[in-house]
Amino acid sequence: MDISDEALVEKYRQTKDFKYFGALTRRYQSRLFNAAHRIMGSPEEAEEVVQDTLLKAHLSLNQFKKQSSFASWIFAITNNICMDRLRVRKRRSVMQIFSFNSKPLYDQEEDASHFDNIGQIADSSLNPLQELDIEEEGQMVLKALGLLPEVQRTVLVLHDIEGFVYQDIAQITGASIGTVRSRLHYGRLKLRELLNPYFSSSSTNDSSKTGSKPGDRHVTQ
Amino acid sequence: MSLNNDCAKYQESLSAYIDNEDVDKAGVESHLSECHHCSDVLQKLTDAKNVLVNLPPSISQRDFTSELEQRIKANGGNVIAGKFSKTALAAIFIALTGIIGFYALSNFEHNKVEKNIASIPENKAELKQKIQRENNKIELQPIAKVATSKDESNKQKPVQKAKEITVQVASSKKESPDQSQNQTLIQTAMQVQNKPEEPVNIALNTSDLSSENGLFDDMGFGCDEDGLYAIKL
Repeated sequence: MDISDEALVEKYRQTKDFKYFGALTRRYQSRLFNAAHRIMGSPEEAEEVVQDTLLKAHLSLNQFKKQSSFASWIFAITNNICMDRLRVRKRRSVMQIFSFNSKPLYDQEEDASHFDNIGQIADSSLNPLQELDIEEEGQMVLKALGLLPEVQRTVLVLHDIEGFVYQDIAQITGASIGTVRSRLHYGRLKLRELLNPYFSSSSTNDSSKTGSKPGDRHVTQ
Repeated sequence: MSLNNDCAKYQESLSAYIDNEDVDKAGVESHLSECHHCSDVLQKLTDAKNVLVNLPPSISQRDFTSELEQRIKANGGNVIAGKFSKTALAAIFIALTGIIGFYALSNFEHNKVEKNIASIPENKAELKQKIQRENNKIELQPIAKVATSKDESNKQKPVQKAKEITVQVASSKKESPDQSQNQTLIQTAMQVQNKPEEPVNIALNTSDLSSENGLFDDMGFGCDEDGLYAIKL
């Protein structure tokens, strides 16, 4: 159905026919899941976030005003749900210190040592990419993302992964454009720092330049 | 400007620069051409961005839209069920409690103010007036008058010296004098008081003075329902 988001919203409001609402949400559910997974760090939690997002969007569609795009609006719902869940998780993680059976989704100590191991791998004569396939690389980046403060992680996901511009991110997160810019800047520096062992090892293995660094598949600037 | 100052100025713009957002591009590029440190920072930012841009998407096999549709149909067109209904009920309960509590509290506050007014002794008239104003019950203080007539056409006529002087500055209670006009009003009243035989050109009309709050306790203003303002001299 080649029709704008806003037109679908209007059609649904007039007819209450779910097919219009469904057409709208099908456009975004994959992206919502991707973003939620990157923010929450867990596919199971991301699925719950998407379920809650679509439910809330359905219930509060009347509140959607045309000042923002539908994409910004629905991602704002996802962002708010993620932030709420992350706050709950933080409170629970205090209790988990005393529990030997549960593990926080982002285990900072383990992940920090994981990054040390990357350096060890890189010190070998083998090219890092021969050690880390694409899936492992994705896991490594995901873990690095998880070590960032939530607000920095969110703007990185919204901009670099979902492609929103600063203005949209400001609407989604409720922050000013200056704050978005600052979070992106320091978030990227922190992410790069966390991935430093990998990048450093790539540069020291210049003799075997058949390999590439993460992100070299499509160089953008 | 020294290189360090420029670094401080441009470094936070580097992310926006690589994102083609609104920055001083020429300034950034000029700085980058002479600053290795910031060029290094730019490379790191680009590395981090590229890592995320090229990250394969995470995919779920679930069709969330269909699940929502089934849930709506299962509940007869209504999604409120199970966990959600408990949340909705809790929200309604909290809202009702808040509304009831608000009305109870506002009635309590109102009764408290009424009690305060009744209990103030006569020699604390100013305080009494202040409290009454807070309840929109304005009482005119018997002080100086400039004009004896409420009629606008009489504004230009000579005024009679009287024990009390008032200045008609508003045609209704809603049109209150602006605080910046205080001095003018006082001067006018004093002029009349000193030379009552001279005509007073009261250049103050209702359009000059408009403010939501026409009550100036410190200056001794009071007004009645017809818009007569009294100035304490």
